[in-house]
Amino acid sequence: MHAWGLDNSRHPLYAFTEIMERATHPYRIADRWNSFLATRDRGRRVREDVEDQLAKLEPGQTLSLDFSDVEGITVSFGDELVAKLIIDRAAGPYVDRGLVLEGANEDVHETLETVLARRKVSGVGLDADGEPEVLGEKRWLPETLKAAMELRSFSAAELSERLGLTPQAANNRLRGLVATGAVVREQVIPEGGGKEFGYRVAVPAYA
Amino acid sequence: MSVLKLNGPAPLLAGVRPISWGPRTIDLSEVSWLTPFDVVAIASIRARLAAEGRAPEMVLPKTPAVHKYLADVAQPSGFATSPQGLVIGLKQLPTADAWDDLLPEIIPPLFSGLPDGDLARRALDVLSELIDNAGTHGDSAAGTFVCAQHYEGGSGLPPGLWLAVADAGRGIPSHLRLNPRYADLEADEELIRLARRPWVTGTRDRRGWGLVSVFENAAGRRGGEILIRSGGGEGFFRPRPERPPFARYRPRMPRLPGTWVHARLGP
Repeated sequence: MHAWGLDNSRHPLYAFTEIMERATHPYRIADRWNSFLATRDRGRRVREDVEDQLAKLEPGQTLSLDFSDVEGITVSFGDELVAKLIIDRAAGPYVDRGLVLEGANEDVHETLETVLARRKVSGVGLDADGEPEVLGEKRWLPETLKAAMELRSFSAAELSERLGLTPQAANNRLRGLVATGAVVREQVIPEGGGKEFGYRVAVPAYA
Repeated sequence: MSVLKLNGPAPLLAGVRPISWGPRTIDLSEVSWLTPFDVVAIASIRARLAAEGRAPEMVLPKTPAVHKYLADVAQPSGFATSPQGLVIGLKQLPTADAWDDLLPEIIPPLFSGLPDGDLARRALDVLSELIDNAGTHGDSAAGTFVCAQHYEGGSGLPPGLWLAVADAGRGIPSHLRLNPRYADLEADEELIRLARRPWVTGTRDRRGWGLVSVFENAAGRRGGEILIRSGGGEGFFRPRPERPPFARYRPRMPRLPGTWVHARLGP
């Protein structure tokens, strides 16, 4: 049985539509803007464009912020685009849409680590093999992300059990994990009625 | 007739105090050398007055080398080919965003003209933050001016990359007073001191690691210093390895029309 009562995983048609729904939408920065990005002014413009794209996604879909062919970014640009994007997403209406970072070269990767750590927030980057890595504030996030990827779609109670945590501690960790963009939160109707949240990994290779 | 007479080496960086910043003539005839700070400051004064319909007459330097330097630096593509080691010639930016559009032109000579890529990347961090700040507190029809030069130390100057950004806008103190929290602070130098801190802003935007904070991060172990003159105040800041940074803030008259910043990143 699916974690939130929808047992559609064995039906080919449902499986197909589910794959479509979970599609990852790349946002290639170098193609849309430039190969070196510097100012807050430009960072704000890119962020607003990315947020427009995020708004167009269906719940459960993932936007991949792709830094391939971006040679460098400054801390000002990185803060304005990535750090604020992650903060806004976590506080806004798009926690049901995933957000991952990929294609960053060594310099861009270092800058992303810096800007996220200074804001005390976290994001999830993908390496060349599509494997996720927590950027910025680490704390217990790597361990929690690993457990979430093993579960793929799950409830807070299932994560609590997997990690041997109290439900409250698991909920706290889930809030942090959803804020990274690597896991989406969706409202589901469990068997027997009512409302609760279900969680699904938004990292493409594990979605 | 008011004349802004500049003499000797680096007159504006050295701190000349004219009767007013609205001259009809800017006389550079006795200038013996100029820094990027002098270049952007002169350009900012001239552009502000020109925007007001009273462009000052310019008297150019008598010394051929200084005259040539000024001509080189003012060329649209005055880059690393200059024998003085010029890295970024004088640029006028109507908006902060225009800096991003210039980068494809600026980055190749910046990276090839400097001894290492790390210095170029750190310079871009500092310049971009300064340009963003100028766009925010500048708000000037004259725009923002940028110039940079690499000195190896042979001329007796502190070696490193000298960066300069100037605007003719409302200035940091007046901008910060837009924030009710700082509206009652009278001393401009105190407001410049506040601008050093992260997250201090005159707007509701969540921007800003602080001018000095970004500089400190970029300078790292390379060392250097940053000098900020804005409105009626001045701030000077120098990070020191293993010791608290040296900082000095003081009033400065006559009030500057805008903000001028010099930053040096050590080699």
